[in-house]
Amino acid sequence: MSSNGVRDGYNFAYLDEQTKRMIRRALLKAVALPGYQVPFGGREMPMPYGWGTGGMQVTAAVIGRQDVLKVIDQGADDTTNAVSIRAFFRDLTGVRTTERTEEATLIQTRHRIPEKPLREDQILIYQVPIPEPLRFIEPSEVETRKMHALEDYGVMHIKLYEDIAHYGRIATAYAYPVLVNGRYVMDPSPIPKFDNPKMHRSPALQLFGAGREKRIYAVPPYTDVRSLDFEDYPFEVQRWEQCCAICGSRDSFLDEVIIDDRGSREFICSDTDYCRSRTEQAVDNPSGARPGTDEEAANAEGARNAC
Amino acid sequence: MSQLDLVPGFSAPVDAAQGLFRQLLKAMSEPGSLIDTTLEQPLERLDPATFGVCQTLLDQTCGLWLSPAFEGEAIRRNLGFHTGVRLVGERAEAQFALCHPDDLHDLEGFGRGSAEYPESSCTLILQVERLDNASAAAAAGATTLRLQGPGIESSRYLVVAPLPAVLAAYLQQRPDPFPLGLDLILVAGRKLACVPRSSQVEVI
Ligand SMILES: [Zn+2]
Repeated sequence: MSSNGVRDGYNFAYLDEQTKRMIRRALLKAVALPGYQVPFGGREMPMPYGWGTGGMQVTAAVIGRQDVLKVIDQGADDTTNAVSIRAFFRDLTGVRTTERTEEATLIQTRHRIPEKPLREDQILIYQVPIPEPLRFIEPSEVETRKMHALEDYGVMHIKLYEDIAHYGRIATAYAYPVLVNGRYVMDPSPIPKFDNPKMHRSPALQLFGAGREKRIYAVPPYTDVRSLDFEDYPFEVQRWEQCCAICGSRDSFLDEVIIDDRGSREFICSDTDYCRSRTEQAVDNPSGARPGTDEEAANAEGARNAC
Repeated sequence: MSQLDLVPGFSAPVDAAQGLFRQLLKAMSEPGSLIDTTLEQPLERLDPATFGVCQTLLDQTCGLWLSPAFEGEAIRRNLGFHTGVRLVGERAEAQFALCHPDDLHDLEGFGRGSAEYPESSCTLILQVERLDNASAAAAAGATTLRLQGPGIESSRYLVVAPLPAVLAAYLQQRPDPFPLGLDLILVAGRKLACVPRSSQVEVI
């Protein structure tokens, strides 16, 4: 480790300056064209595709010494994927890392948006496996490009409508397509559709990186992001009968987990930082004395009974 | 060319380029926001922010069109030395154009991108005399812009002095239907602000 906090023999954030510049130019075009996928080139990250290389390339191009980085995988800070990406950037930038959403200036994410509302000057960087929302309908890149150019999105509605004909509702639950700024249909990456409303007019900047297909796209702050739907079948998010078995939240995205070898199940928050901060809050205020948090604290306290 | 003709570039290039890029990213994703780059090193007629933007974004893979007002050995040699950028004579070949307001009589030739590849459009870097927030009293020759669209919660005001008439008309009328269009980086002294093609602009 050298004196500036970066592992010896490596450039800051791993990528060479030429590659960073290419990605940076692509990012500026991406924010000028909300929802449009900008191709980019340059050096690869030293990890296989599927490990979030696109998100890592974007993070490497934007991160600086003043940043505080948070990395989540399916909402959790402690999975193998999140831990190794966080360690990678700690080693190769020396920046501070955090698990707390509100402390982070950069949040790299795989498949979730944090439950705590994001604020201005935070940047959310999504790892994207398949950037093209029309790909499952049209395998040809030439054709999908033409469809975006002509705003020819009828097939997308047909696909969703087939769902309704088949299941009586729109069955798509992840990577649910959105229309950005009234112009481009965009794949929000495989986040649950529960998270889609958080993208709409978010004060934070949202950047998307797809490593295998080498595409970058963006949603600037305060930009309209609408989930595609029909008048008679409006967009709906997932709901649970249960509340979180740890913190008692009724508002967060829940994962079903098996808790013993008899196959007993519980529901807990997928966002580990959100869940922990609610539990800590409840411990700090056992009587629920802090104004405005009475209900939350009481919820947390009595979670196991309440659920 | 002797060493004496070279002005110093970024003293810590990796950190400085990252820092200025983040300011550009904020400016482009929050159109009309006025950013103080705190840069101090000019390059002859290029202001500190202008020279900084060049060092941050340009390299040998880019074609740069230079306003006649910026033509000259010192700027040409220093940009070549610090960035490696290729200078192009034709506007149509430029990914970036470094513009002086006095030279901008028309916008002919600058690439607007195509419907399939809108990102292939030209980015104009326009160096003006002053950039201000709307709260600053608009001096003579200044144009106040009211911006709306992505990156702006309700509306944002930016005062540009001077804004070439042809560009004021272009921004208001948007003759190239979105997603085609020119993205604009405005620079003055140490300051910068951006107006991407996604902004709706009113001159007030
Ligand atoms: Zn919880």
